[in-house]
Amino acid sequence: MHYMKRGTLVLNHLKEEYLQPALLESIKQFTDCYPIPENLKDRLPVPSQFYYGKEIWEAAVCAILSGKNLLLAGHKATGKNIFAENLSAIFGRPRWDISFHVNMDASTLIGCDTFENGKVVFRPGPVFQCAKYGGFGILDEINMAKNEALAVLHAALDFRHVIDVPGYERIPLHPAARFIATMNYGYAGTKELNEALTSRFVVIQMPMITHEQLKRLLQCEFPAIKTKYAEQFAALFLELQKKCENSEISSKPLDLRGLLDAVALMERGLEAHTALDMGITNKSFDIYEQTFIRDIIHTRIPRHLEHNQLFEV
Amino acid sequence: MNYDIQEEKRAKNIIWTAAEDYSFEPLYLAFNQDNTADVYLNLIIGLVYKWYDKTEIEQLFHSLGTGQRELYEGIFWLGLENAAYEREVPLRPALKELRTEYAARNLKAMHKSASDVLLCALQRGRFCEILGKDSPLSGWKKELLSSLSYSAQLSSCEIIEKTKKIYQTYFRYIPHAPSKKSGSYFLQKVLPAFYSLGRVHSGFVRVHTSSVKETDSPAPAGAFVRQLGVLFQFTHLEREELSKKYVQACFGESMYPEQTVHKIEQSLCTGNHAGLHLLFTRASLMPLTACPEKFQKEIQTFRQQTILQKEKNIQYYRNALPLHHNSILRLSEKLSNALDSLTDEEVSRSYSGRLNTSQAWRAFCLDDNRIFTKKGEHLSAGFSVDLLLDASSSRKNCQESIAAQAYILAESLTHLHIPVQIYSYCSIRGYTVMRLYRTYQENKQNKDIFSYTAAGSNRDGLALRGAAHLMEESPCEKRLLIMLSDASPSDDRCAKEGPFYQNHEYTDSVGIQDTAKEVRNLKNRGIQVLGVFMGIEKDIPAAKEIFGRDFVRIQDIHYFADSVGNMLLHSLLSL
Repeated sequence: MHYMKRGTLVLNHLKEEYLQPALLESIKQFTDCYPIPENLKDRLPVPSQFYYGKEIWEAAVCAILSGKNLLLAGHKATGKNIFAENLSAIFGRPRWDISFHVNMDASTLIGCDTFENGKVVFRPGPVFQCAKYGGFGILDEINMAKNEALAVLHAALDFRHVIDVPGYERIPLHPAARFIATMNYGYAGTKELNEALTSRFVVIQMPMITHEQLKRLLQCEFPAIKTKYAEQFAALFLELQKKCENSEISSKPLDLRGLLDAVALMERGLEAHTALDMGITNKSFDIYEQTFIRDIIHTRIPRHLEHNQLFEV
Repeated sequence: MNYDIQEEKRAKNIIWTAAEDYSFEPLYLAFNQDNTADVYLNLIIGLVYKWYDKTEIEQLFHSLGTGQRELYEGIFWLGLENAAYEREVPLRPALKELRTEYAARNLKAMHKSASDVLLCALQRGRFCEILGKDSPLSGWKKELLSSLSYSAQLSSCEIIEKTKKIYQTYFRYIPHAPSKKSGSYFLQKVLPAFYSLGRVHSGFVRVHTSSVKETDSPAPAGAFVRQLGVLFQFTHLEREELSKKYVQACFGESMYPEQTVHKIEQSLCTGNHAGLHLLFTRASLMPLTACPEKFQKEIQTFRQQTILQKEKNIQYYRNALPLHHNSILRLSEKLSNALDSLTDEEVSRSYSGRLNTSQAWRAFCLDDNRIFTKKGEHLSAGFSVDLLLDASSSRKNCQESIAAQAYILAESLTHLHIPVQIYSYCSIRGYTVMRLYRTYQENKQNKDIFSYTAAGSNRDGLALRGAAHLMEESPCEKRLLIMLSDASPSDDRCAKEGPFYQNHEYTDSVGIQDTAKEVRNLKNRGIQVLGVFMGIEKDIPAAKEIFGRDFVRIQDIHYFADSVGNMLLHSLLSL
């Protein structure tokens, strides 16, 4: 039972985060009550990273246990998608990822007619499947889509809990089905959700990752990294974040995965500044912006840094 | 010393990062001999802001106001550098390496003779100390340097007290309370605290970056700058025809035929602007020989100045090309997503794409395989943007920046396929000159914006009427007008409405009320008017009266494109 092993892994992690025992018990009851069908086990996420933050975990678990849909709002690199994936894993539900874009329409979400064996048949979309099989639908960057395209979700998200497909059937939502939307705001071009849609979610404001959380993440990913430098990389990322918030640089180099990739390259033996260039600086294709980023790196990471200064041998 | 704005911005960014605060303008910036930002010294400046009380530290700097000011400032920096370093080094492993590199680099470049200057001698001593070399200092100088090795434990108050004591002991100097600052200056003062090569090497530069004069009594917008030989805005009571020829000779011939001009003026130059004229021009100049003879010399001088200004504008843009290019990219990025959500979709039949089941029969019956639908996008954003730039002589001190910022804006909007039209206005001899740089269709004409030159006064109300006329050419239903203004309309020609016909000068409340009225008229016609106010504090109420809530104040013209971007974004999202 590989998926159970995964769930156990996440559960153990949560215990570390001191999730209330009552909540853990409720999660267990939920997973026991709604076992995952065999044919959907491949959709169960395998978390490789975990979200750190007790209050956020508690708030989200409570919301999901109460049958609510979640809207995770926050800036880039606040861990929204990791957290959504973690939630799906801990509740042992299959996951459907739906990335939103401006040309999204109702048929992309619900499904559309198609031609099969000389007949017009309905081809279900991700929201339809999620609703039918009790999955967790992750509506990524929900505010990128036009509000009118999202109107089709209203009945699924509110008290009606149904999806009505014109000319097909009206299907009730599986009791384990939940929708977790993520949205960036304040960044270039993102817009606000309309009131009708927002009111159908409970909203969690994802806080910026803290220095301590970042340090812990780095130490978790790279057990050999020395604390002194885990702190420097964490500080470096936060400085980039602040620069981005103040619109001095674009959001492209603010890339947590890029930082982790850079440290991985350093662990392999690559010189620190070259690795950071590859993981962070070069994500921006603007030479002037690169100068700003390199200045931050130079003031944080010494130029001549040996591998044994960075990692325990 | 000539620091380009991109290195200035870079220096500020290092300081803000170290200070963990972006809300202040640093009092000092540090540059290398080659005018690039000095990473270590700017880091130290930022760390001083991080660890110590900004107000108290800056207050002491402001109070150093005698002939020896550079020495006293330098001494204070020597102490602050040590204190900030000691305090930060346990938290930042790279700092030690940066400091050593800085000391080695500067000691190597330092002339021995420079040590004759006390501050340079002290600095040489500090460099040797950092590098672990024997100190070249002896006696009281050595003692002074030693007392400037402020430790990490000292608070802001203790540092200030200690510094004052050093001034008193070694120089018999007591700093006085700072006098109230008036006026502003740009890259005003060079401080040799960290010089290592006479007076022209790596050092702090005291700045107060502001292109806007914050004086209580600003010069009138129509100030006569005769010495430049370029401004002739005060009215001469010569014949109308001569004025017309003169203005056209300076700014360019009208882009409309005579009859059209007559019609336009009949409709626009009414009410407060009765009897005045509008000149819409693309700066196509008549031969000098065709100009009024008695003004030929003046006109020639003006034309030369205009060409010179254009060259300056281009050079200014080129000097900070990466910075300006960065601004274009950022602005485009900022607006692109918002625009995507406004872009119209076009659905057409296609051989591939999404199956249109209602058309599927065509494949079997008509052998027409175009049974799929494909979405295309209209490139048009559905709205147009007009930029109206104040080109009166009050803009003389920042012409290059205005041209650069307007160019950035034009390029960004062009990239995003937003129809944009840009023009400036100024008033001279009864003519309000509307200089058109590019129309909605002229996507390759953005460079013409570098012809921006400031002269004359500003009759904002009439300029807005002129803008409304030019906006009639807009290919879009939704129209946005962005106006760069100091909310201080002023023209030597009177307003012709009201009971006091003769003494109704177009300035202060008369000008403001007229401009506000024209803004309201434009809004009533469905044009969204956004104001970018760059003026003095006392004119903020005027800006509010003119633009209502739809204006933003910028302290520095360098924020113009960014601010307009934010306003546009806001407007787009509410469209």
